[in-house]
Amino acid sequence: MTQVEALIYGFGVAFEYHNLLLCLAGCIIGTLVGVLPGIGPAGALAMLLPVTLSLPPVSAVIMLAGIYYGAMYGGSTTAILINIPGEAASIVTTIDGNRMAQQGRAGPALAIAALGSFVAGTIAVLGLMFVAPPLASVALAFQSPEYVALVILGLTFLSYVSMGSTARAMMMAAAGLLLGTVGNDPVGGVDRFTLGMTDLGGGFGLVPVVVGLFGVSEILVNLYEKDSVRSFTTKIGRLLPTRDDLARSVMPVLRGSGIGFLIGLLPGGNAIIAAILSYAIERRVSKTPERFGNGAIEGVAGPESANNAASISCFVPVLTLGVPTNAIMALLLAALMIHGVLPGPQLINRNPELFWGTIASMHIGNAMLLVLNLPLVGLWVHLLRVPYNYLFPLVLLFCVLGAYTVGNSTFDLFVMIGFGVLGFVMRIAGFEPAPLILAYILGPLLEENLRRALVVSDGTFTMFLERPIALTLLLIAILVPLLSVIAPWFRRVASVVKTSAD
Amino acid sequence: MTYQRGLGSLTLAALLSLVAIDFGSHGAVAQEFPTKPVEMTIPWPPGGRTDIMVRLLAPYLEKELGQPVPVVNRVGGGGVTGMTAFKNSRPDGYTISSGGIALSSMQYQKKIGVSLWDFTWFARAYSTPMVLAVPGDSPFKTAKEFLDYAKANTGKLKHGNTGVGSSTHLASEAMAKKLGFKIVQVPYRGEGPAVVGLAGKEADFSLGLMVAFRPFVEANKLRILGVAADVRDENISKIPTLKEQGVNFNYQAFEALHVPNGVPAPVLAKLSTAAKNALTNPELKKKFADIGLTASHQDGPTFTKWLKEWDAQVLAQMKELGLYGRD
Repeated sequence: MTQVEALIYGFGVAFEYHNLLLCLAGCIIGTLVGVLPGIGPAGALAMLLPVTLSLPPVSAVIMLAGIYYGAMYGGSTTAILINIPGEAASIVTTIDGNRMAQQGRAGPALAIAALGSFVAGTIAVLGLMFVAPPLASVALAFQSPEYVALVILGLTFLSYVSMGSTARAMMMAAAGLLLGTVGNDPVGGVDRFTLGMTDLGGGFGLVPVVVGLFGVSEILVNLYEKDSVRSFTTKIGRLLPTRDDLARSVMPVLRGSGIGFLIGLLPGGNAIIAAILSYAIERRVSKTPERFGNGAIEGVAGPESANNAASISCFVPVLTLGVPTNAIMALLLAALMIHGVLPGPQLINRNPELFWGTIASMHIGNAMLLVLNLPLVGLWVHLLRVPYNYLFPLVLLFCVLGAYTVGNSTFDLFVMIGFGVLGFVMRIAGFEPAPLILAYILGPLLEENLRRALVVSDGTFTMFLERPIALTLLLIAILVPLLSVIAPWFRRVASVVKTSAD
Repeated sequence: MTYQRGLGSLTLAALLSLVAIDFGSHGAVAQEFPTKPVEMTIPWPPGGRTDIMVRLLAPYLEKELGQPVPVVNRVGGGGVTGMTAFKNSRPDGYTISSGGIALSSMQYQKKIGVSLWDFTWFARAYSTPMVLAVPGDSPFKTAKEFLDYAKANTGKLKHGNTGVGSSTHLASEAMAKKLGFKIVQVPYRGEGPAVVGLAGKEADFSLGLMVAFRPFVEANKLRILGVAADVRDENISKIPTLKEQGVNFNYQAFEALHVPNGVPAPVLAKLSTAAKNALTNPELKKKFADIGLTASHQDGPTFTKWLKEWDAQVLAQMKELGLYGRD
């Protein structure tokens, strides 16, 4: 059957009463989970796994998928409103999104985030339908050297993801790299910097660190600077985006969707990397880059679209190759396997109702989420009016819940508090947390892949010259900063030549 | 005086109730175990091999024990946090766990404060042979070709393992040593990345479970050269054993149910019987087979004997590979 016929068949499955309800449930739970700082899709999925196990496989996947991409919608809400990302992929959104909220433009920011996510989601699902299965095998060409190049690109672009002084951002990035080395060495298996604490064998973790560094520290900072309210603002302007906002967002959304879709396809592809790249690219191609960090709508539209597109395309390696791209996909796979549905290239043929039903329900889910999120923009924005002595404890409660439920570990709570204090001290001293956390995530990826690539190449670096994808990415990583350094010099030379010619 | 009498009878009542509780728990434990849910604790995040296996098993254990068997993930430190918490939990039979192969190497790699012998093993859940996989367009079509090349080009072949000190790492080193050649280890973090790396030809071969390789084999991105067992595995009967092809090597991945030491004998007996019935249930066996695991129950004492030998083997191997006690 052709793609269109298959899709119609899929819609038939997706529109079945129970699947529709489960899709809605998934989207609602996902949004909630995304909005609440700390509690991410992983925690929700882990809690709901017993429930999903008793559902038929198609329904289970529909609901789990809804939770996953729903969380991407919701994650931007707290990122924009209170500078605390709902989940890691929304870290980049805090930069311009929260600035916009402080300028009274929380409404447009939220609306554009929702709209962008919808467009990106739709594009990604269309991509899934037509391009994905063959693309999945091509994604296998992406091995360790390519990851090295991609992560180097991401690290290089970190400098674009900072608001203030680049030097300070680089210091934070360096600190992030150092913190990322704590734990198990990926190649030798030796523990580093764990000071004998076996709980640190796996490193500090991601959720406790993000929740501490952004959530707890945000509250501490607000308590400290009681008069000059930094991120919780009472200025609420118009709720709808202006024509100008919409016009400015079109290209970022499209570009972000493309980037997110491609990166999500990679086994191990990261929505966070997609968001970083999107933000950096938007800033780079913008005619007015100085607006970034000061409330540029493109800085919200791009990354939010990227992380939504990535969250949908990452289903491809999972369903067609059985390779989980992150912990949540691992759960999804487990749910499938427990039901006897085996992932693999034959999945599309063996269980067409599963594949096409899921795709159709993703379309439906995206529409549901847009309907859910747009009208709620007003509600969320007015949440900012809640007095701080009610809001702070609630936020703190969710942070604690989020950090704990990841692994039922009290150690994680200590990590959260530790990073909360660290984040507070940093912010008071004028350093931002975003470069730190991004380097913290990217550093270990770089090390693991580089060391492995060197093992495979017997210690030589020539593979970077021989492999086209890796080479291209590395060249971009080198040339882009180089160009921005050389360009002013060229302009000066050009203007000198011009004036001397006159 | 009334005050003193009141106090006296209060104390007497308190003491009596303490004694009653104490008697009560022991008595109830021995005769009516279980009287409340039996928690199955896993030291790894949800979605992993142990997690899936245990979630398949839990409903059948529930039927046997007559009490719910909730599965709880206690994550941290690469498994150490959960194992330590489990080791220190009350040995009353109300907390059980599954595992074995991971701990057997972890306990020697660094001081984790937990060893195989902190636990009483009461039932083996599965013992599944590993298979030898190569990339889909690898020049090796049979295990014999592979062996010949390996011996002629010792030190050149690269093995993709699922982690330093992991079961696949040890298995491949055991194979290399037994058959007389050297290999280079390419480390990955976990099964998923290792399989992708092999399919992408970063590694020349991998030992592992069929469960992980299957989707790629279907996509012709991987080829299975043989099964490391004495007899062909019933789930993948088309694949010959390594032995048939003249490559004399066996290795299996296993998992067993265990409790902390000190569980009273009658409780242990009940758990053992329940596990045996659950694991020999044909329905469960089929569910395991569907995902590529061979449910093969073995009772506590037999398994423990085997485990002692395995433990000694692992210790010797870890020392040889220089992985012992690197802290």
